[in-house]
Order: sequence, then C-alpha cells, then structure tokens
Amino acid sequence: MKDATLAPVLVPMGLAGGQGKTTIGMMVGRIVASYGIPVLLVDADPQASMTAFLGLRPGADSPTLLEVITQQERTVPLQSTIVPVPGEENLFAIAADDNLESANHYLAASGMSLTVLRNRLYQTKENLPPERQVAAQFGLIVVDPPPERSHLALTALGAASAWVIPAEANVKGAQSLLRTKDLIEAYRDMVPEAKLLGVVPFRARWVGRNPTETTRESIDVMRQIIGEELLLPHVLESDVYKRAINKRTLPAKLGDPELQYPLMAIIDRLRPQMPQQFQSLLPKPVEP
Amino acid sequence: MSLLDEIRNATTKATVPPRANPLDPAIVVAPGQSTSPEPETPHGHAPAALGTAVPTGIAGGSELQQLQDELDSYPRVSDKKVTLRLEEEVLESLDETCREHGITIETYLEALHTVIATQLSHEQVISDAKQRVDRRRRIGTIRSTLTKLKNLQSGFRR
Repeated sequence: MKDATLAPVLVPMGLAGGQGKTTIGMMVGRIVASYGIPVLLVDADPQASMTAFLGLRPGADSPTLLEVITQQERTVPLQSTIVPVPGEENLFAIAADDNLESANHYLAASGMSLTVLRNRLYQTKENLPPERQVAAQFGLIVVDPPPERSHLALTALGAASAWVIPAEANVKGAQSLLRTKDLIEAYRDMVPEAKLLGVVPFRARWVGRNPTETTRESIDVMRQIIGEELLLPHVLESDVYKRAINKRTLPAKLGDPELQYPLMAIIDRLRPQMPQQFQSLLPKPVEP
Repeated sequence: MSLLDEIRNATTKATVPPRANPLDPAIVVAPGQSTSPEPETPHGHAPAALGTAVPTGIAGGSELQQLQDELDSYPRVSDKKVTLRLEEEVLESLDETCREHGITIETYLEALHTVIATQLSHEQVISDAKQRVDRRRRIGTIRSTLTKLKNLQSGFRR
C-alpha cells in the first residue's frame, strides 16, 4: 500500500491519439504547481510531446525515462533523471526522446511491465529515509503514456494511483473510451490501489448555449459507457488551451480562468490521495 | 538542502552512455554487413534481433524500405486458417514437444512436412521448426516497427 506521505501518480489513459492525455496531464500538473505544490511530470510517450511542450531537450547522454525503466536505482538514481522545468518553481520533469521506444522491448522481455515504473517511482527496492525519497518531495506525479496498447502504456497504467480517461467528444473518442476502459478493467485487479477518477469529454463543441449534435450524442454515449458518476465536466474546444500549451502557461493567465474548471474537477477528485500537507494548499473544491 | 533544491541547483548534470537510436540504419545494418554473404540456412534468412542486424543482401534505401524488403523476402503465410482436432494423446505429446523446444504446433507441422518430404531425421524437423519460430518472431517485430514508423511519418506530415 502506498505510504500516505508519497505523491499519488495520475495517469491520463487513452488508446488513441489526440484524446487530450498530454493536455490534461500538463494542465493539471501546472495548476497544482501554481498552488506551491511540487509536481513531477513524467513523459512516457516516445513521441515526447510533453518533453517538447515543457521546453526540454534532453541530450543523448542525459538520463531520461528510458534509463529509469531499464536501469536500477544503484546505476541511475531516480533523482538524477529529474530536471527542473525552465521558468517554473514547482514543476519538475523526467523527459523522454524517441529512443524510449526501446523500453517496449525491455519491458516485454521483463514480464513485469505493470510494476516496473511504479517500483522505480516509489523506489520500493531502496531503504531510504523519507527526506531522500523522491515521491515524498512531491504533491503529485503525472505520467503521460503513449496512445497505443504497448508495454509502455501498461507500465504507465500499472504506476497509477489514479486514472483519468480523456476522450474526444466524437465517435473516435467514444471508441477510445471503450478500449481504454476495457484495458483498465483487464488489469484493475493487479493495481488494486488505483482509482478511476472519471472520463473527461475532450474538445467538446458548443454553438451558443447548446452543444453541437456530435458533441451531445458522443457525451451521451460516454455516459452510457461509464455511468453518470464518472462523467467529469468536459473540456471545451478552444484555442486558448493550445495557446496556453505553446506559451507554457495556464488558461487563467491568458484571461480564461473558467477553462480551468474541468481540470479543477479532476484535481478535486485527486485531492484525497495527495499528502496531507499539500492538500491544505489547494483551494476549496469547486462547485458545479 | 532539500532533495528538490538539490535537483534545482544541480551544478553537474548526470550523464548516461549516449543512447543509440535502435532504428538508426547504421545500427540496423552494421557497416560491412550489407555486402557479406548470406548465411546458409535451409529455408532462407537467418533470424536476427531488431537493433543488432538484419538479414543481409537487402537493397539500400530508407530503413522503412529495408524492413519492407526483408518482410517481402519471407515466405507468405496463408490467410486460410486450418483448424486441427487431434487425438488427445497425440496433442499432449505434440504440446510437450513444442513446449520443450519453444516452437509452435503450426511451425512444427510446417517443418515436419518439409523435412519428411526429403526423408530427414526428427532432429532436423525440430531445427527447422525453431528457425520458423524465430522467423515469425522477426516478421512480427518488423510489422510492428513498420506500423510505428508509418504512424510517426504520418504524425510528422500532420
């Protein structure tokens, strides 16, 4: 069982590209960090979008997630793989590059995909005092997985304390939700502590005061698949999110704080898993 | 100093041995290999692990083309599925043999047919089946790599 003083690991899961995994993972991380809570962002996708969005360019000899997965703590200490995100006081990252693809071969051969990343992030094989435990320094760890059913996706899934499923508000998103839900359910018993926080319809489109027919229908389908309780507030289709990512900031700082509402809803559900001293730094839960 | 401050203020960056791109053509086809003679095997190319070497004699071009060429060079596995129902004792014995040698019933039967047709020994059947298992594993790796490369390329185009 995870020590309550260790940061929970949030994994946005989605078995299709463009579902909002990286956007939601990064935004949630940035928002939590904006309250003075240290956040570790882990890029587990060989496409390394999150690494690029954070302005990181790991050199060929810089430790990345590949070394975290394929090496032991005594060879490549977890601490040595973490870099501060430029211009951010409380944001840290473990970067990736396209060589991370090799980790799939290592994980496939290891037969332990589900536990490798979790054991490394929580340094379960080390006997460290709390002040030297990496996960005890953070309020939240976010792992950004790849969009396909690969061993990297599985090791991200297994590292989770909490999953959230972003799914585009269209047919592709509904299909991705079905496949992702099936994958999580297939492994749920092997990750008993992890909790599914919910599904976030992504890039929902509204015209005036009404959702478009495609958005409404696809959200209805998602509700049927996952149930009302697990359907989280949707993320609107908006260039502000894209600009916020490009400018390495948050929608609120671009004058659109209301666009952070669905992200705060995720944080509210995640809050009970965060170490006590960090929970108190967050604002009171948002009202729907 | 807290651990986070140590990370923030790290004056010397940690390093690891430079990562090699597993799909780098210089690694996939090692220098000098492309002109070396083909290893002699009864049924075509010797299997190789992706990232170390691929069967030689492949024409130049992009790595994608090289992989496609290699894939095309393997015998095509028929789309037609054959369902087998065997006597329990025979199936049990067959399962045990396959488990022991790390081969499959499919490849065992392929090899058995091929080898028995030329009246060779049982050991040769096992040897042939092992090569087929390796070859299928290699084909799977290439197909997976090709799909990922194509996805990557279409991602870049977008």
